[in-house]
Amino acid sequence: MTALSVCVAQVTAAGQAAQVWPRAAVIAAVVAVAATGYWALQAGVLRSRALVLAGIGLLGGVGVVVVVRSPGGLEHRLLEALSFVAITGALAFVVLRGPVGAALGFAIAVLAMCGSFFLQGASFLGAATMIVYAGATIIIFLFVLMFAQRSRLQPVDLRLVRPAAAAIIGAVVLAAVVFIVTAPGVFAESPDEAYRSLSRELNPSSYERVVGLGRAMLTDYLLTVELAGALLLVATVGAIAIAQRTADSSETSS
Amino acid sequence: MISTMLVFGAAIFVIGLVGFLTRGSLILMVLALETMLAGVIINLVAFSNFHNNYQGQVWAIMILTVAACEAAIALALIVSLYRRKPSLDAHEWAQLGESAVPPLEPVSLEVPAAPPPLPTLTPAGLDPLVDPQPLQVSDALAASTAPDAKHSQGAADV
Repeated sequence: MTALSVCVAQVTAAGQAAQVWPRAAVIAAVVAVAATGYWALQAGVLRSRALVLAGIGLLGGVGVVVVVRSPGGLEHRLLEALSFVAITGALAFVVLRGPVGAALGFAIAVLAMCGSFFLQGASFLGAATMIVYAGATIIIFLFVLMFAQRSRLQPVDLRLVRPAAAAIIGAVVLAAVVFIVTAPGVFAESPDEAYRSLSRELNPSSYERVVGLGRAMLTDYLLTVELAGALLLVATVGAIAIAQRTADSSETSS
Repeated sequence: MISTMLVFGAAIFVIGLVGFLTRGSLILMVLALETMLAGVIINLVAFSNFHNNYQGQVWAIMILTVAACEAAIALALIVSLYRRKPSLDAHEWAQLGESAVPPLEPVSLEVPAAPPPLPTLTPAGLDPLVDPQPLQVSDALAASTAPDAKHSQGAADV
């Protein structure tokens, strides 16, 4: 306990010296409100449809305020708007009970994420993520859902596994990361650098950016690419081997 | 600003984490894992943009590869599990026993001090080391292995 008290004393002293408590309090309050709202919605405490719609409106209002008051240019505002759309899609994925609605919320989140990649100059990565994630992975999931999901919601869909503990864990992790990342001097860049044009040159055009990425992948990161290819081969063989219906398993299954 | 994108990435990651912890359906748990990987990819692209090089983007491509492989294997496993029991509930598989199989009896782990006596046969016949007997050949065998009857006519000539 003495070690804990020493840690608390040091953190308090550092906090008072660096004036972090207002920022920490704001972050903790926002995250606590979000976590409490999530828990109340999932645990069945919050049943009023009007309150849920008011919460959604509040989230949208916060998004609009952040985008309008952003000090950057149009690109930064678009980036923040896409971030809010992605967060809304992810929240829909977590909250919605039906698996198809949840998968569609995930698809919206991934598509907004790909939009943010295009705005940050990662053109190939945006296209590749859209093809692999929002294309292949989600379609595979929807196939398996169509194969395995009944038409009505099952008890497994309606029941939640300890939403209070999950909300607390998520709130602590999110508050810690946001607190560290939004510290004033963490990323040594001037405001001009911070709000520079996002599509500035790694290379003058999108085409040359993709060419540069390909060159880097095949020269600096060649071993990584080869290992990724080997991993894909192993995963393909493994998936086929696992999902094959062998003779004895089909006899013993009811 | 990069911190905006890092907060966005952290939010997506934490939402995926909460979804993984609270969901009970196997498919939605794997989708929550994919959401967590998406949050990491957002962070990597933000750092690639900040440092003005390709490291973050190459790493993000590798994470996409790993995510695709993981989704394929996970769904193959889910399909094989679904063939055993037509349910997507993760808690159905919490107990790995099967209800139709009777429980095993507890096995005693004691080791006997002396080995149990092995069964033996009563020996039949004479012990060749104790009572050696000359080799006795039957008359029929002696007659067949003597000089052959076919050659016996020519034996006198030879």
